[in-house]
This record gives sequence, C-alpha cells and structure tokens, in this order.
Amino acid sequence: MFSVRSARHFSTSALRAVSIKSAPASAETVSSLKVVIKNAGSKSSPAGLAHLLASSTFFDTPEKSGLRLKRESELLGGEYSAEVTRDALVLKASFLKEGLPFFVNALGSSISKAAYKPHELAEVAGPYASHVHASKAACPKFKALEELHAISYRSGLGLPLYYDGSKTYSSEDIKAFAESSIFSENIEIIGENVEAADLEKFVSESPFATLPTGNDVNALPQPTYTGAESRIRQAGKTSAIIGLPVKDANAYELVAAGLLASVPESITATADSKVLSYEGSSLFYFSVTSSDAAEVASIIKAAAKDLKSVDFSKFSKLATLLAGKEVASKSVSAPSDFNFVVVGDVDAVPLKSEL
Amino acid sequence: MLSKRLFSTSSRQLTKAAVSRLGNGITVITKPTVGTKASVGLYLNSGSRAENPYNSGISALLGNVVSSSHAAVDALKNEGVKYYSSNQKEVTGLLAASYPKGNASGALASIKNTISQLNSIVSEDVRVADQKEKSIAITEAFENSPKDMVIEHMIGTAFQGTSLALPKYGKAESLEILESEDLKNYLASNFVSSNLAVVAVGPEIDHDTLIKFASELPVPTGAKTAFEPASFLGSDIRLRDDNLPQAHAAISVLTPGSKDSAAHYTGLVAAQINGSYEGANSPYSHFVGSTLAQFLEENHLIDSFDHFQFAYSDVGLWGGYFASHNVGNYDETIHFALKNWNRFSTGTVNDIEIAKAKAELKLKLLTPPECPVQFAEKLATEAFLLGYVPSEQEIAANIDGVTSSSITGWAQKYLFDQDIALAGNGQIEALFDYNRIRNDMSLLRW
Repeated sequence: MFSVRSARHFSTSALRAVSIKSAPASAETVSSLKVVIKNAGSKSSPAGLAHLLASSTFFDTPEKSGLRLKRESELLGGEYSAEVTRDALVLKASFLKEGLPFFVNALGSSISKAAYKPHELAEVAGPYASHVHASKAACPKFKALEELHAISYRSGLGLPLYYDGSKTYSSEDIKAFAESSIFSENIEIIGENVEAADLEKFVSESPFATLPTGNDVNALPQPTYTGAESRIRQAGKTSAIIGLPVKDANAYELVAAGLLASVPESITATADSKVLSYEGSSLFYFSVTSSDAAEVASIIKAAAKDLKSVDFSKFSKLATLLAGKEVASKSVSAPSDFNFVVVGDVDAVPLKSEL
Repeated sequence: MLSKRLFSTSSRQLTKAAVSRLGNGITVITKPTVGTKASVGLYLNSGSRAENPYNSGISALLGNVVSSSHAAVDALKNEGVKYYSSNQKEVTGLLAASYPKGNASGALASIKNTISQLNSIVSEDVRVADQKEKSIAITEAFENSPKDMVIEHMIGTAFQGTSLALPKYGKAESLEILESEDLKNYLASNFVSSNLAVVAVGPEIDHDTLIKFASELPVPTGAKTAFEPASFLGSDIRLRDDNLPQAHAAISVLTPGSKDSAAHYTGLVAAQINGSYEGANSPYSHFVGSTLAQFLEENHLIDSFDHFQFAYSDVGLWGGYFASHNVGNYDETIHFALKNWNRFSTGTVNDIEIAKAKAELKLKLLTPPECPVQFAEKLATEAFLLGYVPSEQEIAANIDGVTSSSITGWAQKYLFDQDIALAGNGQIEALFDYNRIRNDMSLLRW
C-alpha cells in the first residue's frame, strides 16, 4: 500500500509522459479517441496473453461496473472497443462531441483501475478471445500470414496475435501483464474532432494522470529470418504467401503494387500484398487465396518470378494509392531469399525450391 | 459533469457538402474532407428498381463491365486510380474512382477517358461474358449470406410484382441471357443527364472544377422514365435449409419513404430502441440496454438481431432480422420480438430508452463513412432520394424532434395490427405460419 509504486501514482509529473495528439476533424458532431499502449501488444507478452488483456478491457473498476459503463455510454451516444496489435493494445471510442470528458475518464479508468476479476475471464473475456481466434483461424489467408510472422521472426513479432488456447492463464496473469506494460511513457492518446486544449485538460484530470511512470518502450532489435518454408494442411480454400522482413519499407510498397498489378482478374482468387510496418521491423508479403488450389499455384509461381525480374520503379502511383501514403519511385534490388507458407491443399502448390 | 459548458465550442466550421444542378440536369456534389484518400464518381438514379424481370442484374453488370475495362486497368496501373462500382435499389454507382491525395487531375482525366469509350466498352462481347460470370458469382455469394439473403427476399415478397422487388445484384437466370445490346439499351435510357450525379469527396476538387468537369462529360441530355410505383403485399417466403446451423427470419411492415422526414426519423428512432445485438461477436453483449436483447439472451433465444428502417423514394420498410441456433424454440424468438414491438403502440417505451435510441442514432447517422467512395455514394443517395443533402444539424434536429408521443402515433399508424412481409431461411421448422405471426402484431388486451 505504501510502496514506492503507489507514491508514484500521485506524481504530478506523470502526465507529461503521456503523449497527446489531435487529428483534424472529419465530422462536426462525432468525435473519437484512440489510446495506443505500446508494449502491451502480442509481441511483448507470453503467447496470447495480450489478446486476453484486450478482451478483458472495459469491465469492472472499483468505481464503475462494466454494465454501468456500457449503459452510460449508450445513453451518451458512444461506442468503445479494445483490440490487440503486434505492437500495442489499442482502445478506441467514438461518441457525440459532448461526451469527451466522460470517455477520457472511461478509457483512463479501464487501463489504470481495471479489477480483472476471475469470473470476467472465465465467462466473458476467455470465451470471447477464443471465439475471435476460431473465426480468424478458419480463414486460410489469416493462418498463412500468422505462420509467415512465426517463421520470419520466431519470437517477438513472431508470436501469435490472438489467444489460441495452447496456454492457460489466470486473471492474475492478465493483471500482472497489465501492470508490467501500462506506464504513462508507453501511452499515446489521439483525439479526432476534439479541441486540443480541452483534451489535454481532461486527460490531466483523468486517471491517465495517475498512471505509474517507469519503464519506457524497450526497443529490442528484432531478429529476422529468411529462407524458411511452412506447409499446413487444412480443409477449405488454399492460400499461399511469399514474404520477408524488409528494411526499406517504401521500396517494397512499389513491389507490392507491381505484383498486384500483374495478377490476372479472377472470379475465385483474391490476391493481397502489403508492407506491414511494426516497431523494429517491416514485413512484406504477397498472398493469394482461392478455392482452386491449381490457380493458387500458378499465381504464386508467377509472383515469385516477377519478384526477381520486374522493374518495380514504375509503380509509384499505384503504390501511393494502395499504401495510402506518398511512395516515391526508386529502383528495387531483388531479394536474395524469402519465406514461403502454404495453407490448405498443400500438394497442389509447388515447394519453395520449385518457385 | 457532462455539461456542454465544460469546454469551448469550436469556432472552426467544416465545409458542408455543396450541391448544384446544371442546366442539362446533372447534379454536382462536392464534399471537402481531410485525409489522404479521395473519391470522385458518377452515380445514376437507377439501381435495380430501373430494371425489369428480364434484365434483372443489368445495373450491377454494367458497373462490373466498366470497372474491369481496359480503361479501368490503365487508370489503375498508370495513374493509381482505382474504379469501384456498386448497386442499390434506386442508385447505381456506375464508376466511383478512388485516388490518393495529389492525383485529382489523374482521376478526372481517367474518368473522362473511360466515359468517352463507354459504348465501345459495353460492346466487347468477351468482357461482357466474363463479367456475366462474375456477376452471377456475386449473386450466389449474396444468396449464401443468410442475413443479406432473408432481407433481400423480405423486400422481394413485400413489393412482389413491382420492380422494387428485384434483387439488387440480379438473378443468375436473367444475368445469363444479357448481351452487349441489352447494356447499350440500358445506357441509352439511364445514362442521361437528369439521371446523373457527379460526386467528389476529398481535399482537392473544388465545386467549380467539378461543375466544369461535369459539363464537359459526353452525356446525352434527357430525362429518364420514372420508377414504377411500388405496392406492398403482406406475404411470406421461406427457404427451409436444415444444413444451415441457425434459423434466420426478417419481418417488416410498410412505412412512408424517406421524403416523409417526420415518419422516417420516427421509424429510425423506433428501430434503434431495440437496436442490434451482436451476441458472441462482442464481449459487451451481456451489458446492452435493449430490453429485447436482455430478454432474448436470458432465455437463450437469440444469436444476433438487428432492426432497420429502410427507405426508398416513395415507400419504406420497418422491421427486424433475427438469427438463432435454438431452432426448436424459434417461434418464441419471433413471438417475444413482436410482443416487444407492441410496446411502441401502447406508449410503454420509457423515456430513457428513447433518449438512448436518439443518442445512438445520432452517432450512427453522423459518423462519416471511413472510405471516401462510400461517402460519395451516401451523398448521391441522399441527393436522389430526398432532392437535397441534409446537413449534420438538420439530421440532429430531425432526431431531436422525435418524442414519446410521436413514436406512439407512428406505431399505431404503421405498426399496430399491420400486415407483414416475412422471409425465412435455415432451420425454420419452428417459424409459425403467416397468420399466427401476423396475429402477434396486435394485442387483445391494451
């Protein structure tokens, strides 16, 4: 009770550590808040625990039950959600403008005062997390992308995004993980269509201001691996994915655009290519999914060939559209090796060595 | 604590959507927004309601043919401009271009280039044949989504015999027989100036630029034929499919269209009172305030539900959609839902429920669509259906104007003891016959 930790709880300097940004307004009546808690993502926790933490957010605190929070939010015209990414725990709320002080408080309380009661995990958060994992894992493309992370990074970013049930955690584990990762230095608050001064004032009066200061984001270098292959048999559609960790994300935005541009139009196949930017590394991938495994084979073969031979510098306009940011034209040297994952009817898709 | 006085009011006003009508009848709409993505597109006041049973699906097919044309592929690869198409009951998104900030001129040039080739694009038999196959695949995927499927069939049975009953993506039978010649005929009667809206959403294209662009488009001058009037018939349609894990049904009554704004907004608030229930898809489902959600969940009668107020230019449908894996007790799901609806007519919905519904509805209607293409479609739909684009303040004022007594009056007129349109799919052996469900629309005791 009188530990050093609780003394820090009331430190006035804590607020300066929370970073607050305001994004330009896109509406007059509706505002939104996003709270990004770095180091509380799946790369920083034992496998799946970060997802359980996200699923346990917005339940009981000593002042307010999860039920009361939901009912009050409904009455004010507001919605909230929590999701896990590899880098962070992300809380979001959108609400009618007048609700700003209420939602600043609600988001702050939900991370600083949550009770993490055992029955919440057993009855709601656990089943919900498993439901999310099951519905995502049924999609072969998601499964292939998860496996690509696993073989490209092994630890850290390679850990599963969602709770897959392979480990058992208690509500104490969730609480301990929250306490070890939720520090004011790790928190970024982004408000849209809010007055910056009001947001800062409300944050300084909210539980955000009482968060402990302490560890900051530990940017451990992420080891990366290429040349690996993984093939998983599964019923349903077949998905194949080529990917590799990249240093120059912008160059690979050009590659993503160039590969997508040459995929033939098809009723059954869907292709996707992106550069996923994480803290510490970026992962490029090209994936194709279809109910026709032979089609997957031919498209992934062509993409592997293009990856080595095409001049991607001409795709800057398309890359700008797809990446949602300005991508300048530059020459891209072909990667020496890549990782390869197939999920589904794996016999119909060539081996990595045959690509 | 929640008083508005606690914080300063913004002096900055967002620019509203600007709407003009050109001399030849083209509607031009611009909406400046922030962000890195923008959209400019051409919308027709046609949709599936402008079709007939023999060319059902042609509006969606036309959009697919245009957005897969050579011109579209060139625009994507060389200009970074991606074409989308869409179709609703009364609005066709013929060509909606999405482009990154900084490339407005490329987008406008691409659209102009594509539109100037429109006749040759629809004359390519091979492309039309390919896109027919794709359109048929889209209709099949749509039919395999139970929620979309029952709602579409509910609309179909409600307005049976009129063009409003035609499915928005058409039918495989009618799509199969369409040819280039049909597309040309459709274009001749629908791609005319008074039936066209040119809509830009984003930070770059100003209103005058778009007016100039629209006036230079090669669009034949003319007026299109009006939609045939819709008539409602209380009826039901069922596809029992015991291979599906759940029972699905959608039920609705006839309401006025979106032009009757008092009735429309009252219906929207009434639909929001019970709102929607996501079941296992949200960790907060146990907490929702809707009395219907609480009752159905407590008794294990529901997986998910949704309430809606659909509105077209002249008519609307108000109702709900219910999905449950508790198929043996599905009669109770429907019975108690309809008994809950009776509360609207007896005036026993309490003030807190109405306040909650109004606040939630404001959030729902005033949250701008994330993607500029959807935003443009929303603006075009409002302009076609209402004749104007309502501002945020007008929408909020309309919602504020709904009271407990207006809900009761609305319900006694449009809901109480009214005929229903019903569609069911899945394991619906416990979905009662039409008359028993119809009887639940009234009360013997008030």
